[in-house]
Amino acid sequence: MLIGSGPIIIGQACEFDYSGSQACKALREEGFKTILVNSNPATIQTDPEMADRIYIEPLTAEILEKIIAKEKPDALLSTMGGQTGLNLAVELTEKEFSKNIRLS
Amino acid sequence: MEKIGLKSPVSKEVYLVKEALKVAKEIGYPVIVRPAYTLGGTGGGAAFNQKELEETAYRGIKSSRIGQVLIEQSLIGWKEYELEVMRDLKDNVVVICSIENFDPMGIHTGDSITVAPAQTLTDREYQTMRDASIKIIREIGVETGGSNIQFAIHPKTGEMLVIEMNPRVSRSSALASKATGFPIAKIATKLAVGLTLDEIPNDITKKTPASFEPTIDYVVVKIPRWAFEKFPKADKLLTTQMKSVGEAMAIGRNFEEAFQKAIRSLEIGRFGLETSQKEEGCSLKEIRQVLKTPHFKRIFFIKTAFKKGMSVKEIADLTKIDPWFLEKMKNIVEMEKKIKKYSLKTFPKNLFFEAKTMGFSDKQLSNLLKEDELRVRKERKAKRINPVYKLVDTCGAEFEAQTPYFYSTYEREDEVKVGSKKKIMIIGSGPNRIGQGIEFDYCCVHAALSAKEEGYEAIMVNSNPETVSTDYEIVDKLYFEPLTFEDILNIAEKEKPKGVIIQFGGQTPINLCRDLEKNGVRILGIPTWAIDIAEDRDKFYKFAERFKILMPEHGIAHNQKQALKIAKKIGYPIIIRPSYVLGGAKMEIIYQEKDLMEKLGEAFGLWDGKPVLIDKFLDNAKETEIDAIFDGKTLLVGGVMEHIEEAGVHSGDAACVTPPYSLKNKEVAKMLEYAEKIAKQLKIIGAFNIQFAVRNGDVYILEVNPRASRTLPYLSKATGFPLAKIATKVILGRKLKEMGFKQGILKVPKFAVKEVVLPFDKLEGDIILGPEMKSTGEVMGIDEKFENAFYKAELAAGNKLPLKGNVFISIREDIDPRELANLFHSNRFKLFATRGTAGRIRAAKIPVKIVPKVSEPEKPNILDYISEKKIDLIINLASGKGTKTDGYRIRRAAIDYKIPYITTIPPALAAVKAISSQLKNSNLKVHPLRKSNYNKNMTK
Repeated sequence: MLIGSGPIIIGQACEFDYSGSQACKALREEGFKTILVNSNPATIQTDPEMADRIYIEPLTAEILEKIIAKEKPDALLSTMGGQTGLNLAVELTEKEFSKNIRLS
Repeated sequence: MEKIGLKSPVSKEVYLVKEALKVAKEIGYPVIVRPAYTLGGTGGGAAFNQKELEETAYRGIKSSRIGQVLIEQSLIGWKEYELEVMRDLKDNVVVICSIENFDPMGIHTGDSITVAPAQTLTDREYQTMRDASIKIIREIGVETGGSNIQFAIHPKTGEMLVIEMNPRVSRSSALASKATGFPIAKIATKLAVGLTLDEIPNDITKKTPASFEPTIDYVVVKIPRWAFEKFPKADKLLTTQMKSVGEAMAIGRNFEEAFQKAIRSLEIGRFGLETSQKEEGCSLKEIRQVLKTPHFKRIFFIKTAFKKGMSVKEIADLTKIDPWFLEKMKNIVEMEKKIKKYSLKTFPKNLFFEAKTMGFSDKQLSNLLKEDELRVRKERKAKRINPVYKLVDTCGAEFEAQTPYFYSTYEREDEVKVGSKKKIMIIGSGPNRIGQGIEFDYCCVHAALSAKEEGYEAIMVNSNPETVSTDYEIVDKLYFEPLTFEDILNIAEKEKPKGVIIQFGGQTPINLCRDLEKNGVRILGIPTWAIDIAEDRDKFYKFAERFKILMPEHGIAHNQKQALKIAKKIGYPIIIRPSYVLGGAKMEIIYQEKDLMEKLGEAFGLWDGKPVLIDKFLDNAKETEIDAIFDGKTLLVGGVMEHIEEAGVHSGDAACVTPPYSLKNKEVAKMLEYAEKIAKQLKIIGAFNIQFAVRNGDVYILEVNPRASRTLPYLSKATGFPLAKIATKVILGRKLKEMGFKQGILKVPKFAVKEVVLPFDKLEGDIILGPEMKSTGEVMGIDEKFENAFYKAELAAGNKLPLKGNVFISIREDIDPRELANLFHSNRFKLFATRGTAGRIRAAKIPVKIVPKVSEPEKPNILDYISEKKIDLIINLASGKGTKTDGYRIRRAAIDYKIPYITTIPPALAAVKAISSQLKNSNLKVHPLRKSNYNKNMTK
């Protein structure tokens, strides 16, 4: 599972669409099933072709918990969604329910 | 850092302003305040004394997720560097790229001009930095992946400090990827799943593994682009808080060339290191002041300083910019002096060539030689001075490169091979700015993919390193070049594409297409005469009249008297704007004659004597828009979007929903009728956008955009159909019917609400929405119910609506607050209001507590309530302009204390309905997007 960086703001622009899209493609090349979450519809990474499951949902811990419960990912790649993605990954892994998910 | 023998700035983490002051006393002023866990340095800054620290520390603590700030020794004036480093599971570490900041420490790296590779380090200094970064990535424990490590070096002593480390991909890693051709994010992902650097082949050479560090035989310069013209009240000085909204990158064989290419890539009307009259008119005293305080236009003032005879040493002392960079800038100024001695006729070939190698554009030369740009071009070609294209190959030509990624320069050997396959060229959207951002990158990527699917070679031209469209894996050929007439025509002449697609890069390619066409480039899609009609309001008024398309009453004024007469005839409120200015720039809504007089004095002075357009402003109208595709026969409407805000708020700043939630079928039918008429008459092929206002059942056209609009990606996600891709296929000659589409509107399975994100937390000024766009980005909320989709969109935009608590309402006298107050009251909110608003709410027998305004003497006033977090939602409608009004201070406080706020009535009503829906059932559902299916019955 990958978390995107959300809306474009000063300090966090489309460079994270670039990194997330590349990550999705690289994971697919290596044979992984990918789940991508981002609230920003104007991204290439939220295209159906980019990941196996795409969620355009608010990037909050509560919403991500729901998606994790549904999709049961084995690992979370936290370094592709800028500071937003990284902060959320830290917040999620501090929670009990995510103890079986590997953080990378 | 201490453990591995490295030094970092003296600093201490604090949670209270009191502690911050204590630490600063120990370190000594100035100090830097860095909030923990924020991006772009939000809320941070330098403090030169106790008073400044009190403010900055307070703001920083507020903006940090954990309420913590770092108080740090100031390194203002030190040189700043970044290294992009990667490590794998076997503990191999490689350095991908070194980046040097042209600007010294104290300016956020996102706001600095940066150069790759580092230019002014000695080999020993570089090796020390390299060793340090390898130690750091190991010590911090980044098991696999990429990191960005920032260093400061004292310009005199060479002392090195470690500033920051980001254990993730970043803006800089995207830049480094584009600068070197080494895809950091992709490799980092592969490392994360267990591969090692020696196991991953380099995409470009195919022969070398990723463990080979890239070598580059060129210079890369990145320059940020700011949007201060949209935020006149924002502080234009550069600090540790990032303020730029985009960036352009350019590649050249020397610094001068890359630097000048990067400037013209910014699309700010300067075609190299060119100064404005205003800058040239500054006195030495004024220039010294600007150079001392890092202003966003400093490079132009540096040039002026050179022209006025200031020395490299003095400029270096004032700006703390390394003399090496200043010498290079001086070279450009000296060259300019030489050029100015000639006319085009007498301009010697060797000097012409030399100027081109230093990145002088034809346009810049035309300004210096006082000649027409086309003549300069013709003369240049006659002298056989043509650009050549060099490969970005990661290996300094040591191995054969497989990936076609090019930049232009002026040398002998040309490395580009032009194939025989039919080619389509796509012009990108350049640096991000307000109004032209990621949406157009999205569209350009789709255009390229679509052209490839149709069997063409897709050629992309773009200058923005942050984008997906400049990922060389997406396209067949990538030219990393400025988006100017000269640069694009050069590529077109080299590649001879079948046609150029200009619909997807926002306004940039639209502005260039007429000149390109005049010079033999085939523009695909909409004809350029039709673009003229759509963009020139005078022509469009006539067009609308001829084809019986309803528009708000309007007129064109060439002087004040005419303007007043027109305004009187059509009645206030009116919208005025200069003719032929695009994208809502400088538009203003005027409510009374007095304001018009004031504005006109300004307008006819500022707008270069261009006529002023006056439209009737349809107040309280609903605003809607459609994105559609036309192939000459069939009209496919991607969706009808209904704005949540009423007409008058720029469409790029308004929230919107599709399908519409309150439009009548008759009104939608009228929109489609107009759209078809316009598409047919303008002979549009491909995507276009129309904005409407609906009032009392009448549908008015506000504007037509003869290109893919900002909302196309959002609609693509809402409907599940890749509209930019479909539009590209239509442009390339396919028919909608053969792709399975019927005339009509695409079905939308759920409500999709788009909400915008505004940069007011980073830029000062008022937060009222108006006809000038200010937002930087967008989010989308999807749900079966409109209310829930709206709630999700607000949540995603960082505006979490409270489900209980205290709501503060302060509304202009002419607007009735009762419906709103009643809805909040019935959802068990406690109401607070200013005296006037409260009176009107009480009249409806709704309980409300009066809160004193800021300007009233009683305490606690509304600002106290806000700062004590006693208010959970603020609804404040502007009653006056200026920074001294109560409204302004309330709205700013809402931003500073991160309290959700709403500044117009319709979104406030939508919000309370969304809250009400949440109170009934707060379980928000999440669903993956459905995949598109071309073959199903897609239109209704």
